[in-house]
Amino acid sequence: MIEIKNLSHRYRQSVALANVTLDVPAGQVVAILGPNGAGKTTLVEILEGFRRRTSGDVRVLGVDPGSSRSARDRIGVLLQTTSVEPQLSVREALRLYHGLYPRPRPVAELLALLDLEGVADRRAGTLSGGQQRRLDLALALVGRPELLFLDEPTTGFDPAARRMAWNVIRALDSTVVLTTHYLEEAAQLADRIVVIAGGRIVADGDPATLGDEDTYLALTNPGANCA
Amino acid sequence: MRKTIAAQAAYQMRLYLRSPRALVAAALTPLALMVLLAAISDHRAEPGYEEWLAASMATLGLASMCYTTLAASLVASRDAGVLKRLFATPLPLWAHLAGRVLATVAVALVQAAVLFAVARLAYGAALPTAWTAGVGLLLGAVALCSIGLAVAQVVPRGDAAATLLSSTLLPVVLVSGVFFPVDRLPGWVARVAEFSPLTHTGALVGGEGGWAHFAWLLGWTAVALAFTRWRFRLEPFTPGRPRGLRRSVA
Repeated sequence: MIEIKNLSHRYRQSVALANVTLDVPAGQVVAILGPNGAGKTTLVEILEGFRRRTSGDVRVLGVDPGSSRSARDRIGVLLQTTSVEPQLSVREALRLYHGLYPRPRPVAELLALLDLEGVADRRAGTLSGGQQRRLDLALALVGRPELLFLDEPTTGFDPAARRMAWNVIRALDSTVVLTTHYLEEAAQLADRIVVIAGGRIVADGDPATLGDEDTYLALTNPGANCA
Repeated sequence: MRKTIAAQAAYQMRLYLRSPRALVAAALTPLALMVLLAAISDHRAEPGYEEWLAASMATLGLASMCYTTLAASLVASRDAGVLKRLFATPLPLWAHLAGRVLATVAVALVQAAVLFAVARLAYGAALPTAWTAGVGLLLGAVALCSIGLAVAQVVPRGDAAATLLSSTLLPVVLVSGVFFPVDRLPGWVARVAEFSPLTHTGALVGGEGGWAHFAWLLGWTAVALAFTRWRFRLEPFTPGRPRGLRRSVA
């Protein structure tokens, strides 16, 4: 599904990713965990095709996302910031995206799946943060993606909405790459946790061993243990 | 692909209709100016003045819809994260932009038709009938839309759009024969006017023929689209962030 070999990325002054190597097989749910500025979003944006990398090899669904958009119809994306025209209603936004994919999910099914039926005819700009996020998630699922990128999917959710989103994500048969700040989210959803700090992978393993707070803090902030 | 572009055009049309104030302002400003100028201009008694005035105000209307309104709407969509999100779908961005331009040109042509109808009814101005006037309106609209797309790439974000767009449009309007006929402009202003797409649009709409006008408009379109493709921004520019995302629209 995803093959990353020696991926590095620099912004003008700073190193965002240093020599990242990572393979994600089909069907796996991988949580990318790390403090703010660790390089999570840069990594995901390179995989999504938004950023051209400085060096290294990247294949997503067999194609290089830096130069080809040919796998777009098999990929679903939830960006960190919401991304719907505020004047469109929820239903209109879903219809619009529905028309962009070869084998889309029906709009009614998505409305039901993400509990958006009650607000289907409200304009996106009037939705609460959590509702807006659920719309973003619905748009990520509309094309029945084989591979799903979720960048902080439940930020702004209340606990009930978070549970609901988790259930939706768990029920998918897609390969999922999600970034999150929430250890609990990673432990709940992922088959595998990859911890990034300072642009490097500092740990890669299953949630049972990496999912507790002490381990995580020690990995991402090694200085804290020396004090 | 034709269906995709049509769907994008319908989508843009819906966005325009959801914020009708921009449309009404773009349509009413040239109409109101026409009424005012017809009442106060020193030249109002000259033969052909009404026709010239209608053609000029139609040109101004094209500029305010195709340049200002389209660019502002693109910047607003970019600020809302829409362009970045669309880039992650199978939709080619050029098809999205083509749809936006199509809807904008359609609105602009309707506005021009309304303006000519008012000029005919209120002042008895003869309607422009030359084929060059019709094609001039269309090519002028497309050229101004293309320039709007290009300028949107140098607008960092929405809060700068209004100032940047209006402060670039006003001087161009003044030298382009919209308010003062080009043949009465002094030497260097006339030379500057030669470069303005509005001058050539206005000349064609006003009934002047000539391949040079078409060539200027096509040239502007080509240059503006090339610039848009080169500098296309998917995200607003945020100070402090290393670099806004720029991607080719292909």
